[in-house]
Amino acid sequence: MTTDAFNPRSIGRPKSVAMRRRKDRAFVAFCIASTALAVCVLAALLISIAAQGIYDFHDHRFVLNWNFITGVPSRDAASAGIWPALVGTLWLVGVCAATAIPIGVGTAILLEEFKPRARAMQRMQQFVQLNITNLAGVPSLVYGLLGLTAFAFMFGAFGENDATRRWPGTRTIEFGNRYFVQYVAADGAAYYAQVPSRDAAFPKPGDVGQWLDGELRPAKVEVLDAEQSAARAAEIEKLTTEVTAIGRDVFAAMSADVAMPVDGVAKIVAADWTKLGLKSDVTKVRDVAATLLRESLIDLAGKRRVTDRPVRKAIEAAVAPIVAAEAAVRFAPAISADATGMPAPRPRFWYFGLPLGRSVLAGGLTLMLVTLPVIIISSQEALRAVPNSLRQAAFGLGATRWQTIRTVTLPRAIPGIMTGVILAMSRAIGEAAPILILAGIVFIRFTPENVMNEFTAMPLQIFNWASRPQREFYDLAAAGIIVLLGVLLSFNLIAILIRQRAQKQG
Amino acid sequence: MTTAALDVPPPTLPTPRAVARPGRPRSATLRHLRERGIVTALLLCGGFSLLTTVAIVYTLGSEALVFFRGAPGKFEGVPVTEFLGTLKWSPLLGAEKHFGVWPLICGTLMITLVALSVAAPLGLVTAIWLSEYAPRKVRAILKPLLEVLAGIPTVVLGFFALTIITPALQFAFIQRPALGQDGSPILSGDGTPVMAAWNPLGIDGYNVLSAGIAVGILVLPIIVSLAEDALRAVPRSLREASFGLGATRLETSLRVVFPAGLSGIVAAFLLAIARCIGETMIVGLAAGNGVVALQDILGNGPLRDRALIPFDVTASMQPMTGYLVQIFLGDVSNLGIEYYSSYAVAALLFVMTFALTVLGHLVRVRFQQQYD
Repeated sequence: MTTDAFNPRSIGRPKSVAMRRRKDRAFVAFCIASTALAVCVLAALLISIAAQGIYDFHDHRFVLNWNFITGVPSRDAASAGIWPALVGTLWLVGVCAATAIPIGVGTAILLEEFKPRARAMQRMQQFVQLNITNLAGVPSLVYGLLGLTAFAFMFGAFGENDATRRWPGTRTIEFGNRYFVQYVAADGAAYYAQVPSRDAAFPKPGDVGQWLDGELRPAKVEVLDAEQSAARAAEIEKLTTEVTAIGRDVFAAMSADVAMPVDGVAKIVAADWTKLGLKSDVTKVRDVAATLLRESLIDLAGKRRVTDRPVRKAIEAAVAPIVAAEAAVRFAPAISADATGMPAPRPRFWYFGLPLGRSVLAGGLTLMLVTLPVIIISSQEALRAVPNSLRQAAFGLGATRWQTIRTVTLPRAIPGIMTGVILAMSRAIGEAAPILILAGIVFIRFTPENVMNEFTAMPLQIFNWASRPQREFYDLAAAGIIVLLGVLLSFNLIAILIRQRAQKQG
Repeated sequence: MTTAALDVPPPTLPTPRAVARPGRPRSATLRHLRERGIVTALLLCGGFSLLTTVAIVYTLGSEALVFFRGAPGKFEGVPVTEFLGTLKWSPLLGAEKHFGVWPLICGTLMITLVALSVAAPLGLVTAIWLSEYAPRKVRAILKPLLEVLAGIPTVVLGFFALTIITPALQFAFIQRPALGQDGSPILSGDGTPVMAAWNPLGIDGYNVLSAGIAVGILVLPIIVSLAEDALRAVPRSLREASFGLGATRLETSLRVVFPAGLSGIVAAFLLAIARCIGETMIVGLAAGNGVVALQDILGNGPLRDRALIPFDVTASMQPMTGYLVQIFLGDVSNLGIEYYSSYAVAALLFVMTFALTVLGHLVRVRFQQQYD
C-alpha cells in the first residue's frame, strides 16, 4: 500500500480494476434502463389518452369526431363539444400575445442593449433581472389571483360589472337553452320576454304575450302609453316626496344618537312611517332602510364637513326600498309602450367597458403576466446571440443606439425571439390555474364576439370534464386533451419551422 | 479635331444596384428626441415587471390583512398566531371554523416529498448520463423528448394521474368482488356481486401517491436540464485529470464532476421544489380534499381514521393549492371569511416560492466555482 501524504484516502484496501469497470458498466445499464422507463411512461401516457379519447370501445363510436370539435358543452356526454373552449383559447392567446410581446421584447432590449455604466444603475439593472427571475418562479395560481383582483375587479375602483355588461355581445340574454329580451319597468325592475332564437326581432311591449320576472316566473305587467306613463310617474313622485319628508325627520332624530343599534332605528322608522298609511308591509323593508340610514350616518359622522348633498343622497337611498315596496303594492309593474328591449343593438368588436369583469381581456392580461418572464428571458438569449461586431460596425458608421437596434440587432434576433414567443404561448395555452381563478367553472355555450365577453378555455373545460365521476366524461376529457395537444403540436411545429428557416438564412 | 473622335462612347461603369444616397437632411434634434422617447418607453416596459411584483405583494397582502384583521360587521379576524400556530383546519364545514394552516402545509410537503423521491434519483442519473456518457445520437433523441415532456400541460398530467396511475396502483386490472363492512360481498340489483379493483395496498381513489408521481414527472425535465447545464459547465480539464489518475467514468462523475457542479444542482433542486409547491391542476384533480387532523395526532385526540396519519401517502391529503382550487370552484360571490382565507394561504404560498427562488439564485451565484 502506498502512503500518500497529501491524500489520506489513498490508504485503503486495493480495489480490483475489473470490479470498478464492472460498476461503470452496471451504471451505464442502469441509465439506459431508467431512460427506457421514462420513455415507456411517456408512451403509456400518450397511448392511454389516445385510446380513451379517440374511440369508445364500450359504445362503439368515435368520441373525437367533427361534432365534438364544433359542438358546445352540454350535460349529455354524447353530444358535448369543445368549440367555445377552442375559440376562447385562441382569443386568449391573441390578447396575451398582443400585450406580452411589446412589453416583453421592450424589457429584453432595455436589459441587453442599454446597459448602464453608472454603478447605481448597474445595481438597478441586476435588481430588475433578479426580479424577472423570481417572477418566472411564481406559481401561476398567484397570477390568477392578481388578475382577478387587478383586472377583473380592478380593486373595486369602477364598481360592479353588471349584467348588461356581462352579455354585451348578444342581442338576447341566453339562459339554459332559452332566449330572453330584457325590458326595464318604470320602477327600475327588469322584466323579460321570451323570444324564439338568439337573433329574433325584439317584440314591442304591447305584443308580448307573457311577461316574466327576474326569476323567470310569470309576472303581471301593464303596458302604458305616453299619457298613462306620465300620470304614473307623477304618482310615484308624490309618494317619494311624502316618504322622504318623514325620512328627513328620522335622520335628524338619529343624528342625536349615532350609536343607536339597527333595531332601535328600525322601530323609529316603522313608527314614523306608519303615519303615512302605506299599504305595503313596510316591516319587510324596514330593516333594510334602517341599516342604510345608520351606515350612512356613521359614514357621515367621520367626515369633517357634512353638506346637505350627502345627507340628501343618504336619505334617498334609504327611502328607495320603501317607495319601491309601496309602489309594487299600489301599482302593477308597468312598462312604457315605446320601450325598447335591452341590451342595445349588438356592440361592435371594438366594444370596451370598465371594470373588465371576467372577460377575455382580463383573461388575456392574466396570461400575459404568466408568460411575460418567459418571453423576457428567451428574448434576452436571442439578443445576446447577435454578434457584437455587428453592433460595433453600426456604431462606427454613426448610428444611434435605437437605430442600431432597429436596423441591425432586432432583424437578426427576430427568429430567436419569435421561437421563444411561440413556445411561451404554447405554455400559456396549457395553463388552467389562472383561468380557473378568473372565470370559475362556467357553463359557456357561445364563442366570444368581442374582448369583453365571458369565455371558457380548453384546459378549463378538460378540468371540468375530468372532475366528473362518470366514465363518459373521462372519454370527453381525453378527446379534449387530444385537441389541446394538437393545437400545441402545431404551435411547436411553427416554432421549429421558423428556427430552421433562420438557420438556413444565417 | 473632328467630332467623329467624340463618337466613342464613354466607358460604361457597372450600374450600382444599391446607392447609398445621403438623403434629405434630418434634424439632429428630432432624432435625439425620438431616441429619448424610445428609451423612456423601454424604461416603462422595464418598470412593468417591477410593478407586477409590487402588485402581487399589494394584492395578496391587502386581502390577507382583511383575513387577519376581520371585516367589521361581517366576520372576525383570525389572528396570525391561530393561522400559523394551531393545527386544525376546517374552514368550510361545521359551526366552528378553525384556521390553523399546518395541515395544508403538511399536504404540500407530502406531495413535494413523493415528487422529489421520484424525480431526484431519475433526474440526476439522467443528467449524469447525458453529460458524461451519452453519445451524440442519444443526446439528439433525448433532449427533444425532454422538451416534449416539459411542454405537456399540467391538466394532462393530472388526468393521467387520475385515470391511469391511480387504477394502476390499485391493481385495477385484477378485479375482485367488493366486500362490505362485515366482509360479505356487496350484491348489485340482480344478485351478482359488484366487482372492484383488487387494491392490495389500500390506495384510495384520491391519494397523494399518484398525484406526487405525476408532479414528479412534471419536474423531471426541470431537474434534468438544469443539472445537466451545471455538469456541462464543469471544464474538461478536471475530468481529464481524473482520467489521467486512472479513475473510471463512474468514479469521475460521482467524485469529481458532481461535487464541482453541486451549486447548480442544488439550485436546480430548489427550483424544482418551488415548482412542486406551486402545482395546482394535478393536485386539484388527483389529490382530493382530505384534511389531516394534526391536532389529533400531535395533540391529545384519539387516532381514528387512517386518513389522519400525516405520512399516509395512500390517502387523500389537500395541499395549499388544492384548497385554493376548492374555494374557487365554489361560489365566491358572498365574500365571506373563506374567500379571504384563500388569499392568506396564497400569500403564504407566494412567500415560500419567492424564498426558494431567491435562495436558488443566491446558491448559484455565491457558490459557483470559478474556473480559469
